[in-house]
Amino acid sequence: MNELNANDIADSTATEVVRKKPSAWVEILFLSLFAAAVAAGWRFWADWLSVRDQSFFTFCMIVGLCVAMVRSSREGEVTAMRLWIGSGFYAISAIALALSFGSGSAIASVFALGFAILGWGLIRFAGESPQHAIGLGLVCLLPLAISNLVSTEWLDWLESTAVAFTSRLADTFGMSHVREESRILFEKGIADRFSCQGSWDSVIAFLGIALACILGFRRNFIPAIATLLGTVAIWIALRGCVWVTLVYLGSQNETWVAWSPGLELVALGLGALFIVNWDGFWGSIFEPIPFEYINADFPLVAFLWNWFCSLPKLAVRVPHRETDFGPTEEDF
Amino acid sequence: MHETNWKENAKWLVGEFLKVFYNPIGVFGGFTDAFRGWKFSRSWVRFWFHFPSVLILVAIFVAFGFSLLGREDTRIQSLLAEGEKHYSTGDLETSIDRNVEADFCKAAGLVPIEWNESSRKPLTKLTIRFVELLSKRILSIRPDNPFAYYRLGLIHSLTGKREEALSEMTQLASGSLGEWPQANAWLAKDLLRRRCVGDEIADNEIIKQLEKASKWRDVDPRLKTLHSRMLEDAGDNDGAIAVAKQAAVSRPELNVELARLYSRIGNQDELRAAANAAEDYFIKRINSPGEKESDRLAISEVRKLTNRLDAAAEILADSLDRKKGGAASRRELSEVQLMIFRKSIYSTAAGVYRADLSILEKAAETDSLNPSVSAAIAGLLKMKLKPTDKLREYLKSHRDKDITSSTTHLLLGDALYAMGNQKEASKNWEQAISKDPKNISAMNNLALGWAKSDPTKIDKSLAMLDKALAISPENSELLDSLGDVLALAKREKEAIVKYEQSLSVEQTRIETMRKLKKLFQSQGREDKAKAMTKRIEALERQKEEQSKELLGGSIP
Repeated sequence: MNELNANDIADSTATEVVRKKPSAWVEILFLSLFAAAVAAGWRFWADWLSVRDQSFFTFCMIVGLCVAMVRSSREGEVTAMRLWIGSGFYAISAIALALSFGSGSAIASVFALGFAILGWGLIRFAGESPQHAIGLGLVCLLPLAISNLVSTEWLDWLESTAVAFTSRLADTFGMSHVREESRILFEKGIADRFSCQGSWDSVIAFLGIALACILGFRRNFIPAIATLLGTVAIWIALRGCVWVTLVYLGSQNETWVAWSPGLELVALGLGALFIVNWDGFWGSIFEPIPFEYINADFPLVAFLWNWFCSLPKLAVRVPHRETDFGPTEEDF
Repeated sequence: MHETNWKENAKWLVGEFLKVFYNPIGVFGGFTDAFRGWKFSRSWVRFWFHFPSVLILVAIFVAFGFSLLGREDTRIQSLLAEGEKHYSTGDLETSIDRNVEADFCKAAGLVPIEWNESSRKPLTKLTIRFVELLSKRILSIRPDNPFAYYRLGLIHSLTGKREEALSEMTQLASGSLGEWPQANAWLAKDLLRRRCVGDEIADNEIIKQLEKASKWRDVDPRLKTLHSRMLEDAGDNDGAIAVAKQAAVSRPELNVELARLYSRIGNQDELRAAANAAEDYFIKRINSPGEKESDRLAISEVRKLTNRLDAAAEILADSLDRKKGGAASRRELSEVQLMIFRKSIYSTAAGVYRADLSILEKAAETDSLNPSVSAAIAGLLKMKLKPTDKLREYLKSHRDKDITSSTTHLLLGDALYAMGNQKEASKNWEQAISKDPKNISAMNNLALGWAKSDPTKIDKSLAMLDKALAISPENSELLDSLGDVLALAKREKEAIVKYEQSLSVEQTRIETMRKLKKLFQSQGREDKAKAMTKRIEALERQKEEQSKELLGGSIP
């Protein structure tokens, strides 16, 4: 009887690797699609990059992708060459590009760019599961998602929440302050200039750092979500702490007030340290249990944990004990 | 490679799950092994290296959580205390009072109040904004907090947002948030300001607010003084005295106002007491480091009120000698000297006036730009007193510099008319009217002058008198003049009506009676003329007796 075990499931879902060198056409096609998509969406990109924190976000995203690619190439000399999936995304990209040229839609051009990179990543990324490769490619669509978020009230809500948090924190520490919509006026007249967008210390800049960590350290889905959500919490907490501390210092010594103009960059630096640390923490928590530590009698717990930690990769390996009870009485 | 499908995957998962029932020990072992496996495979160095950031973040959120536990009342109390710490309500009120002083205090001619500047914090734009937002913050938690509402109203008032301040103070004054007399005081001031800029505000409306405001222990004492004045105007002298006394108790300098009130009422005993109290207060202030010019002016005023003109002149002269006084003291001294001069005027038995012109010269020297000096010189001319060359020079200088008052031109016009210079007289009366469009005496004289000198100007004259009567409809002199002009225009019946109107206003006008009698005779109404003759005779007898009683025939 052919016994079924967990490894069969893991093996069965593993991508069949075609180990051969990718054709030059893959690169040519990608570059063509990339150039055409950038040309079609130049207005979007010009607007996007004209804002300081958004260009910083893009920079972090590119750095993260490059590091991810370099690190993935170390895992295998030959690329995975998931040609058929990659070609599919190239096709989607071409359709989106055609739509963009046809309708003049910048959104379609960004989609085209994202899918071109996605297709290229699937073909070129070594040592990655297809799910991971798709995840990496989808990152390229983040600017579009963020630009849509900016136009909604989500950022206003976030700003308001952050101001309310700072106000409460100042209350706790007995700091004289008043709130005026999304601004806080402290006793010495230092007004909270933190904002969700447009400055070095905006939540978008903070998310850029988080993205660079996620891509660079090649986090799986769950630690990545923990890092992204934690980044928003860090941004809220840090802005509150920085202002409350600054006002405290300002109330002790007037000269500290002059420090506030450099605050954006200081806050960004502090935020980067926190985010890297936070990402590392969750990265260390959500590590899969090594194969040798898994109990072969009941591997389900370890299997579920490893599956959870390895998302979006859907298959994990678990040990399987071959049970041989020997001849029974009935055999005789 | 073993090919599997979803059915096999599910079968494996269910098989593993069922172990919970038939192999619980194995399941437990699986759990503990998984945990051990997780624990042993961690890099604890890495974990502890990254843990502080998590700890800091958690600590920040815990601190935030503590702020959510505070009671609302405690929070409001701390915010109110914070607001007071930043800028006290008393200071806000003082800032407003100082700012509006020019609006209503000067117009009302009140005694200036001494403000304690040292205790008042400087009010910067930032402070205003902060205090405003703080009040708004309290109101966002408790919209019916009257204290925050009041402070917000004060700030809006300070920053010129009058409509908002008015709405807030009106709501507070209505009592919907509890009794708040401070708001009534603010509304009273606002009404007074509005009246100063020409809005028609009834006294009753202001008195109503002032009465409610008087419940406030720290009400602006100047408001009490104004309250007192209004009660006096309304004929409630006792009420006026009571309120003025309250004001004087809270601010001793307001004894001057009390003295003014007694002076107007004619209560000499109380006037002396109030004047003495005021003088005592200001005497203590003079020659002290905080001495102000207004202190000696106040002393001078109470001395004037109690008819101690020489003493009033003395304190002002002293002020000027010590170089403590400025233009105001100089003007006041000149006015006091003019009063002394007026007292020096007397008439001889022959009806010729005499006066000590050296005092007038002294008043002119003290303040050569005082328009009252030229008015006094013009008055000399009217009394047919010959001014000295020096005084003539002053009069000429005032005319050249155009600092003459409407009264000066009126008196000059009268004097010139008496000398027979109709043309120059009219010119001066016209100047008097141009300087004071409400100078009804000048209008009256000009109208009469025109009518008497040139019959073609009768219509112009009538128009002028109508204009004057529009200003003062119950003026017996104007009605008499109108009768004169109508008589000149041969409109006897109308003239009779005007003369009668004049007599109904002032029943002791013998000249009007004589003119009326003459008209009755010309109209053939002998019975009316006879009745008028009897009335004239009775009045003449009465006047004769009165003058005998008063003067006893001892006119120098």
